[in-house]
Amino acid sequence: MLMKHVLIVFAGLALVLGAESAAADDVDDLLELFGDEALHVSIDARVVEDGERTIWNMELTRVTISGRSVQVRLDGDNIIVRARFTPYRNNESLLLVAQGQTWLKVAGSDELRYETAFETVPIELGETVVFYPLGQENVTMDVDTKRYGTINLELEITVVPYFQAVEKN
Amino acid sequence: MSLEDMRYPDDARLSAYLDDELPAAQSSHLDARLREDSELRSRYARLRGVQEFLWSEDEPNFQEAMERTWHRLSLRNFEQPRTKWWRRPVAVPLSAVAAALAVLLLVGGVLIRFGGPAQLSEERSSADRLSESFELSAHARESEELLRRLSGSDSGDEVTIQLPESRTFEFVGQPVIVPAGH
Repeated sequence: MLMKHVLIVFAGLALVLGAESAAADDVDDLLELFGDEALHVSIDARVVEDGERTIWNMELTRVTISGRSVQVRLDGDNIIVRARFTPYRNNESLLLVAQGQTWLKVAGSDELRYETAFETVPIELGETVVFYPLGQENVTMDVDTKRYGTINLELEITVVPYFQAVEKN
Repeated sequence: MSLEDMRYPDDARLSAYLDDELPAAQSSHLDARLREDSELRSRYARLRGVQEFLWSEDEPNFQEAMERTWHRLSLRNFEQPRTKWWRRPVAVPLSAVAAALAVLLLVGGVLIRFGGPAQLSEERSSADRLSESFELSAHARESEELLRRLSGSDSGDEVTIQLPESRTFEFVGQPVIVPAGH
C-alpha cells in the first residue's frame, strides 16, 4: 500500500518537476528531486484510558508532498472522526494545517454532537503534534461512581522528509 | 387607536369616517361623538362641504388645458418638444405584418441554403482560433494545474481506521490540535 502511494507521488513529481528541469529526465535526478520534496507522515491513533494508559493503538504512514493533505477517518461505535493534515514545507520548518471534525452520539440519548477544530501549527520537521478529537481536559475521579475519567482518543502526527524515514527503517 | 384619538379625532380620521373607511366599531363610536360634540360636528360639516364641492365639479378637460398651456408658452417663444419619428405610434395592418414575415422567412431560407458553407467555414475558423488559444494557455498553466490536482484535497484518498468495539466515547472538552508535550 505504501509503495503504491510512493509511486503515485513519484509519478506526480516527475510530471511537475519535469517541466522545470530538463535534467530530471534521468531517474537518479528524479529520485533526488523526490527525496527533496516528499514528506513522510506518520500517524499514531490511540485510545487512552485515564489520560495515561494506552489501551489500543494503530500506526499509519503516508507519503505526500508539500500542500497535499493526508486524510484519516476513525470509525467507532458512537463516534466518527475525520482529520485532514496538510503540511506546507519551508526548508526545515513546516506549517501543518490540521482540520478535525468529530461526530459523537451521546451515550444513553439520541443527541448527536458535532465539533470541529482548525489549527495551523508551525513545527520543525520531526516534531510531533497531537490531535485530541474529544478534547484534552484532565478528568478527575467521579465521587459518585468512583470511576476515573473516561477513555480518550489521540492522534499523534509526525512529519519527516521521506528519505529520512526510509533510512531510519 | 387610543381613547384620546377617539375623543378628539383629527381631520384624517374624520375624512376616513366620511369616506366610510373606518372599522365598524370606530365608526359607531364617532357617530355617538358627533351627536354629542357640536365642535366636532362643525369640523365634520366643513370636511363634507369640501368633499361635496369636489364632487360637484366635472372632471377637467386635461387635453384642452394642456393645449392652452402650450399655446401660452409658444407666445413666449417656447417650442413644444416633438416626438421622434421612431417613437411615434404606427398602425400596421395585420396582412402587411404577415407578408413581411413571409418575405423574411423566404430570404432567411435562401441564405441558409446558399450561404451555409461560408458561414460554417467562418465558425470553424473561429473554433480553431479558440482551440489554439486554449492550447497556449494550457501550456502556460500546465505546471500550475498539475500542482493543483496533486494538492487536491478531495481526492477521496482517505484512510479509515476502525476503533475498538464496545467502547463508548464522550467529549471531555473541545477538539484541539497541539504540539506534543503541551
